[in-house]
Amino acid sequence: MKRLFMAITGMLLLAGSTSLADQLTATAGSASEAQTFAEYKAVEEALQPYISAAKTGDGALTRTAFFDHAHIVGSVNGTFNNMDADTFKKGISQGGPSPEIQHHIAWIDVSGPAAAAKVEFIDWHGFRFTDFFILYKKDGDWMISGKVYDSHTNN
Amino acid sequence: MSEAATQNPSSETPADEAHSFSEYGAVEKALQPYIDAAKTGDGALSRTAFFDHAHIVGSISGAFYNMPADTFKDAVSEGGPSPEVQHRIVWIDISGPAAAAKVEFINWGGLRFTDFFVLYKHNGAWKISGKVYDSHANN
Repeated sequence: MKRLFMAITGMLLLAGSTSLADQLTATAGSASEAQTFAEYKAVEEALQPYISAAKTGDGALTRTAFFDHAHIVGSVNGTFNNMDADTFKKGISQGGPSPEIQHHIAWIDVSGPAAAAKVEFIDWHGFRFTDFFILYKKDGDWMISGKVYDSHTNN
Repeated sequence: MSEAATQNPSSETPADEAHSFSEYGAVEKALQPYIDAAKTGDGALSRTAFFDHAHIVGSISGAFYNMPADTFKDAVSEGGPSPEVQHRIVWIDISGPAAAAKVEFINWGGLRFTDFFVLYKHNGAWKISGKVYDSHANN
């Protein structure tokens, strides 16, 4: 009993001697912390082909950001548009370049392999858009599983 | 003119204010059939919350599942009731007729889930256009 007590006391003393710097190093080295931090960037990168294609009008590029099953749902000038990913690809190509466009990624929320994001656009062919996305990480790659949008004064 | 009005001019009317406030309740109501069906196992009820084109994407026990709305309906029915399930709507974000939501679940058939939704208001009715989920320790 006494030996056990001494052993525990020794462990406590050892723990007590660990410097704050050591503890911070150990915490920062946690693989899961590094991964959860990195996932925000990974989601940004997954959105990038879509964002780049908004400027260039490259439908094939935007298509790479979406799962085959993804639907893009919203309305423009009173017309409800429910497009599958391949139809949206054609829509982007037909729309052509939009060099004046600006965007902000307003937020990203990640839980494990699932995520959501909100992206704001202005001057996309003169339109203001707010996009909501859901994304999923399959086989190590984040892709867009669905998108809905608000076209503001042009709904 | 008050100082506040000078600093942040707005064209919002009282009707606009009432509308934008009420939309949160409308999105909650749109999620409710799905949430109720998690407890009762009523796949047909859950199905009413989704657009026909909606896909439900995630993984459980290492298997990737990409289900159309009709397949998910069957899965909810086959899963049966889950009387112990609890949920929290963590956030809802709305922009015009578009919205996103995050809902947390525990004890849904013993599992812990985090759901992300996108929703759209078509012909006055909000419906789920897509869902992705995290099954936490069971991905």
